Amino acid sequence: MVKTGAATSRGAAETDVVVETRNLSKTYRDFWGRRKKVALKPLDLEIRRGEIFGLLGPNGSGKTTTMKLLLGLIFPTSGEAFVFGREATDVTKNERIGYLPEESYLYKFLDAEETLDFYGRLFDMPADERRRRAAALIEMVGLTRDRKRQLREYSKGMTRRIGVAQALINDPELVLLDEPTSGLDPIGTREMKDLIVDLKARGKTVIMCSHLLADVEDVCDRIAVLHQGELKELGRVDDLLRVTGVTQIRANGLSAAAQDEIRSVLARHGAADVEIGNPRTTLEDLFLEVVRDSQARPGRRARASDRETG
Amino acid sequence: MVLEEEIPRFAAWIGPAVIRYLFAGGLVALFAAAIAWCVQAVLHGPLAAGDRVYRGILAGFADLAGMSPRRVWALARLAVQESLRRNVLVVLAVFAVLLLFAGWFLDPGSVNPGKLYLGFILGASNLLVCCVTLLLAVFSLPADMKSRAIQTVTTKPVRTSEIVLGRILGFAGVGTALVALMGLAGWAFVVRSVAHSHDVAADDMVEVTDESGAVTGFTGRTSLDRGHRHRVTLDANGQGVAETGQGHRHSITRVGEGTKATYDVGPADGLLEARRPLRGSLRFLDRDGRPSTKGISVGAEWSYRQYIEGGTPAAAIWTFTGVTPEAFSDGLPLEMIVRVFRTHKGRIEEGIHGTVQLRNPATNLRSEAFPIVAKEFTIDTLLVPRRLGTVLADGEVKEIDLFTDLIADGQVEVWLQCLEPGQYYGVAQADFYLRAGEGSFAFNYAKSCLGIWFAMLVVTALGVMFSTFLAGPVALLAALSVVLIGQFREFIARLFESQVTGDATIVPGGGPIESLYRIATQTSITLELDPTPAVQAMKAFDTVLLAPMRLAAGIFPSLSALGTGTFVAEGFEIPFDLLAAHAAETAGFVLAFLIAGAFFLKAREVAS
Amino acid sequence: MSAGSARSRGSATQWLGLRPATLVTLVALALLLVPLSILAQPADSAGPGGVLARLRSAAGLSQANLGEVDPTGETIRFATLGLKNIAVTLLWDRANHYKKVEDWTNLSATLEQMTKLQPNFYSVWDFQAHNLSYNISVEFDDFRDRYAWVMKGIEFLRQGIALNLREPRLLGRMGWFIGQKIGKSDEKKQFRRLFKADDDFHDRDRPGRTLPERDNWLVAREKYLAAQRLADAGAPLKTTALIFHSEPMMTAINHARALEDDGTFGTTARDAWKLAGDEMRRFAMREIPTSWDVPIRLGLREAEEERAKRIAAELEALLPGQFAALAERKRSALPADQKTALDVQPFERNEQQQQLAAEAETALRVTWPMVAREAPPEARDKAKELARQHVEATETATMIDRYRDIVNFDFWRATCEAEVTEPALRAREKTWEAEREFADAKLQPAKQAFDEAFQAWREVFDASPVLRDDQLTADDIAEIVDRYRKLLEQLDEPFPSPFILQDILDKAGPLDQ
Repeated sequence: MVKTGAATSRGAAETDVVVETRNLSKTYRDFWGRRKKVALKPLDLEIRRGEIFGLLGPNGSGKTTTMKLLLGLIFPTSGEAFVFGREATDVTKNERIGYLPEESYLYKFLDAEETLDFYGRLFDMPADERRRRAAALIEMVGLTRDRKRQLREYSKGMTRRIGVAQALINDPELVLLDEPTSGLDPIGTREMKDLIVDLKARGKTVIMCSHLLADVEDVCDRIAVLHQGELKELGRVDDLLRVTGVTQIRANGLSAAAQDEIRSVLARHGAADVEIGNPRTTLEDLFLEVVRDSQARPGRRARASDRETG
Repeated sequence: MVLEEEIPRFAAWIGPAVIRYLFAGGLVALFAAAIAWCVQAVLHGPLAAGDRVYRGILAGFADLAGMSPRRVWALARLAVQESLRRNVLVVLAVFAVLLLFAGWFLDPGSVNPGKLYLGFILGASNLLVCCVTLLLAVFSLPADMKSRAIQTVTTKPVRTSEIVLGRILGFAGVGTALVALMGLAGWAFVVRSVAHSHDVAADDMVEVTDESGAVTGFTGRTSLDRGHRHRVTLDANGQGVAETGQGHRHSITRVGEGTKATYDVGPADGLLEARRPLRGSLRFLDRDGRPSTKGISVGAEWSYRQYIEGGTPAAAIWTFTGVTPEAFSDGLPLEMIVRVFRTHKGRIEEGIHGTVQLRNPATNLRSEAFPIVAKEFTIDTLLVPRRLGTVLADGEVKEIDLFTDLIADGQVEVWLQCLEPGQYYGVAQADFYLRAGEGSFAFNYAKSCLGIWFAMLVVTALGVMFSTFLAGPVALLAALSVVLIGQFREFIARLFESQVTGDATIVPGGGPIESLYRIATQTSITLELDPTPAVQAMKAFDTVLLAPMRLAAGIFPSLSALGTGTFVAEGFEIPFDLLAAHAAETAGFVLAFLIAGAFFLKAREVAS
Repeated sequence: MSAGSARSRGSATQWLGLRPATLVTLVALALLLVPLSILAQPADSAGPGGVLARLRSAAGLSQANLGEVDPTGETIRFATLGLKNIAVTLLWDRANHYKKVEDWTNLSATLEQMTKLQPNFYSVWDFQAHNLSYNISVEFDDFRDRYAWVMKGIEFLRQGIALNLREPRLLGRMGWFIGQKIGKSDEKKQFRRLFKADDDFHDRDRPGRTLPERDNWLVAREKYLAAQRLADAGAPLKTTALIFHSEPMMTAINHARALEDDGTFGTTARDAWKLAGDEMRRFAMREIPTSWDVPIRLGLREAEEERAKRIAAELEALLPGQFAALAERKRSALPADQKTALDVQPFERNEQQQQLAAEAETALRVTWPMVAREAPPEARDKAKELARQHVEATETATMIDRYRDIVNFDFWRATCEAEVTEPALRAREKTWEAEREFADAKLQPAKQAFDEAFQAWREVFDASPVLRDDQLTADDIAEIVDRYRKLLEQLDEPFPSPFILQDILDKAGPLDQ
C-alpha cells in the first residue's frame, strides 16, 4: 500500500529504487537467545533516487536500528533489506554509500588529512584522487586551517564537519545521515541543511534520521515516523502536514471591507475562525499526535491508514 | 647439542604437513559450521539456518577473494599509528633496563656463560615482543568497537578479512621493529658480555721435563677471571691452548725465556660459533656384534643416549652421506661427544679409552683405529687425515687414501668402540658429526631472531582472531590459554593417554579434579586411590575435561617449538630445513587465524 | 532534615565523582587498613613494633635478622607479583627437567633463581647443594670435573650462609660436604689433593690458610665450629643437637685417620690425634639438650654412676638392711605360678611362662624410694630426699648411656685415647709401611713390618678393652691379616700359630671378597 501510494505521487522515477526493505525486523536477544527487545517491527520501505528521506521518531523508536540494518552493521532478525538491489550485508554496496554516524566515530589520533586519506584508501582510491578529493572536501567543510590538527583537539562542530567530509569522500550516490544536526549551533545546522539540499540537487539520495523535527520538516521530501519500533506515518511532508478539515485563506491587498465581507460570509456559514487560509499543522503537532495515538492504541498504523484510505 | 628428534628434510616434511594441516583445518571448519548451524537453527529453524550458514560461508569467501592490498595497507598503517600512540616503544626501555640488570641474575661463572646469556637475551626478547604485540592485538578491535570507530570503517567497502589482516600486519610490523631493535641490542650485549681474556702469571706455569731433563713443554693455569680459569698446556716452543672450559678456549703463546717469560693470551675462542654439521644416522652393534637399532640403557631416566659395552664387539656406527673431497679437502673434521658410564671405579685419574674407525660401507675396508678418551660434555675433535693407514691381515699397516679407499659414493661409516671391559660409552645420533664448515654467528643469531619473529606473528594473529569476537581482557585470556595449552601440548597428550589407559606411570597424579583432590587431601601423586565409585566418577569427569584439551593440544601452536635459540646458544647453525618448516607452520597458523578472525568478525554485529 | 542530608550526601558523591557503592568500598578499604597498620607496624628504636614485627623477631624471621638483604632476590620476588610460590614450583620442575636432560648450565641458573625467590628456606639450599655436589658431580667422568661440581655445591651453600646468618645447619652442611664428600668418596685421594691446591676456594673461604690447614677435614671442622658458635650465640638449632655437636670430634678423628691413610705419621699424626682427643673431651663436657628437658654431658656417666653408688651407700647406712628386706618380702609374696616361671631358665620358658616371669620381675622391682616410703618417721624425710637423688643420678646415667650409644661415644673416646699412644701410632705406621712394601713386592721387608705392626696392635688392644671388643676394629684387623696371609702364601710360609691377634680375628665377621 505504501508502494502504490508512493508510485502515484512520483511518476517517472518509480523504478529507480535505491533502498527497499521487506518485512524488515530486528529483535535483540541476550546471550542465551532470549528476546530482550523488539527494536523494529516488520517494516516495508522504498526510497527512490534523488529523495531526501527522513526517519523520524523519539529516542528508541527504531530509526537508528533501521539505518544500521540498511548499512549492514546489524543483521535483520527476519525480512530483508536491499540497497542498490544488493543485500544490506553485502559490503560491495558500500562503494556507493556515504555514512555519517551520530557522533563522528573517527580515530582521534589522526588529523583531518590523514583521516580522509585513510577512508579514501578504504575505497581503494588511487593516491592522487585521494589527495584531490580530500583537499576539496576539507575546503568544502571549512577545515583548511585545521587540517593538520589531530581530531582529539577538534570541537564538536569541527568533528561533525570532518565526519561529513569522510562520508562524502567517495562521492556517494546514497548518503545516510544519523542525527546530522545534533549538537550543532544554529549556523552549523543551517549549513548542514543547505548541504543536504545541495546533495539532493546533485542527484544524491539522502536518508536521514532525526528527532529534531524542524530539520526534517525543512529538508525532507518524505518522512517515516517510527514509534516503539513501528511505522506510524509515512508520506510526503506536504501531505502529512496538510490539515484537510480546515481552510486557510491568505491574501494580499484585500480591503477592510472585503475582509469584513468574507468574514460575514464565513460567519454565515457558521465559521468561528478569524483567520482565513489553509493552515499547515507543525510537524511537532503531528509527532505528538502520533505518539499519543500510538500509546492509546498500540499496534495500529494510526493516522496514516486513516488518511490513505480516506 | 641435544637433538631429541631428527630434523626432517623440508621437502619431505612439507607434503604430509600440508595434508595434515588441511585435514585439521577442514575438521575445525566443519565443526565451526555445525555449531553455527545449531545456533541459527534454534533462532530461525533448521532450513533457514542451513540457508544462512551457506550464504555466510559463500559471502565470507567472496570477501576473502575481494581483498584489496591498498585497504589492507591502510588498515595496517592505522594499526601501526595506534601502536605508536599507545607508546609501545616503552617496551624498549623495559628491555634496556633488563639488559642493565641482567648482570645481577646471570652468573658469569656458570658452566657455559655464552649459552646462558644467549638464552636469556633470546628468551627475554621473545617474551617481551610477544607480550607487547599480544596486548596490542587483543585490545585494538574491542577498543574500536567500544568507540564505535569500527562502524565508520565497516560502512566503507572493507572486507572483514582486510580488517583482520590489516591489524595482524600492522602489529606484526611493530613487532618486527621491536625484534630487530632488541635483536641488535641483545647481540651487542652478548658479544660484550662474553668477551674476556685471562692473564698467565709466570708463577702459575711450570716446565714439563722428560726423563733426560729436557723441557718438553709447560703446564699451569690462567688467572681467575669471570669465575673461571683454564688449565694450560704448552709445547716446548711455548705454543698451546688453555683447555676448553665454560665452552671456550684461548690460544696462548709463551714469549721470552726463563723467569722473564710472559704469556700472550688470545680472546675467547669457540664461544660464539655457528658450526655447520654434516649429520649422519646412527645404528648399533650389540655385545655379540649383532646389528641393533638401540644400544644398552644404563637405567637413566632420560633415554636420549644409548650405551655400548666396552671390551666387546659392541659399536656405535654413524653413516654419513655426501662426504666429498671438495667439501672436506683437509680430511674429515670429526666432532664428538661421548658420555661414560662406569660399572667399576677403574682408573680414577684417567678417562675411558676407546677407538674411532672409518669403514667403507661398500668394500668393508677399515681404517686404522684412532684412539680417543671420552670427554663427555665437551666437544672433542678428531681430524681424520686424507692419507691414513689400514691394518692388513698380517698386522702390517698399509697407507690408503681417505676418499678413494674409504668413501664410496660420498658414504662413509664411523665406528665408535669402547676398549675397557665393564665400562660403557653413551652416545646419541647428534653426538657425532662432521664439521662441514663455519656459519657466521651474527647470521645465525639473526636466524634465531627470525624464530622470535615467527612466534610474535603467531601470537599477534591469535590475539587479533580472538579480539574479533571477545572483549579485550577475555581475548587476552583466551589467547594466553591457547599459548599455554600449546606450550604444554605434549604433557596434555601424555596426561590424556594416561587418563584413558589408566596407566598412571605415564603421568602420575591424574587429571585436574583428581590433582585438586590430591592436593586437598595431601595424597602423594604416586599413591593409587581406592577405586571407590566417587573416585571413579572423579576420574571419568577428568577424562571428559581432558578430552577437549587433548583435541586443542593437537592443533594449537607451541611457541617454544618455534624457537631456535638452543642452536645459537650451543653454537650450531640453525638448519635451513628447520627454519623453513617453522616458516611454513607460522604461515599456516596465521592463515588459519586470519580466516577464522574474518569469519568471526563477519558473523558479528559490529554495532549492537 | 533527612532530605537535606540526603541532598548534601548526593552532592558530596557528585563532587568526588564517585558512585555511592564505590565510596562505600573505599571507606571499607580504608577501615581495613587501620588494623593492618597496627599489626604490621615495623619495629624501630621507639618500640618493638606491631604484632607481626614482634612475631617475626620472636621467630627470627625478619629479613635483617636472617642475613644479608639481597637486592636481586627482592627485585625478583617483587616482579613475581605475589605469584612467588607458583614461580618456585615451576622452577623446581624445570630444575628437575634440566637435571634429567643433563643441561648443567640451565640447571645452575635455575637453582640460582630458585634461591633468589626462597632465600631463607633451608631445604632449598640443602637439597640443591646436595644435587650439585652429589648427584651432578657423579655424572661426570673426569675426577676434576667431579671435584668442580662438588665445589659448586659447596659454593652454593656459601651463598645460602650469607643470606641466613642465623642458620647453623647450613654451616653444618658445608662442613659435611667438605668433610664427607671430599674425604670419603671413591676419589678421596684425588679430591683431597685438589682441595689442598684449590687456591680459589681457600682465598674465598679464609685467606692465609697454611698448607696443613688446607686439609679438607680441618676445613670441615672450621665450619662445624663456626656452626657451633652460632648455635651457642642463640641461633635456633633445628636439628639433633647431639649429632650436630659431635661433628668437630668426628672431623678431627677423620682428619687424623686421613693423615695416616696418606702415610703421614710421627708428630703430625700424634698432634692430629691430640686434637681429636681435645675435641672428644670438649664434646664430652658440652651440655647437650635432651628430649627430657634436662641437659646432659656425655662425659659424666661415670660420675653419675659414682654418685648413685655413694647415695645408695648413704641410704644403706641410714636404713640398714631395709632394701634387702623389702626385696625378700616381695619375693615371698609372689604367687606360686610366677615363682615357678621364674625358676625356669629364661630361654626355656614357654609363652605363658614368659609372661608370668615378666610380671614377676615387675613385681619384684625394688627402688630406694619404695624403701624410703617405709622408713621410720624420724629418717623418712632424709631418706626420701636421698632416694630422689639416687633416682636422678641413675636415670641421668642411663640417659647419658643411651645418648652415648647414638654417637658411639665410648668407641670414639677409646679410639682417641688409644690412637694417640705410641703403640697405636707405631701400629698404624708399620701397617702402612707393610702394605706399601707388599704392594711394591718387597716381601721380606713387608713381612717384617707386618710382624712389628701386629706386635704394636697387641699392645694397643691390651691397653684398650673397648677397641678389643669392637666389631669394626676386628674387621679392619682381619682385612690386614688377610693381606698378611697372602704375603705368607707368596713367601710359602705357614700362617703363625698361635697368631698374636687370634682373639681379634675370632671376633671378625667373614671377609668381603
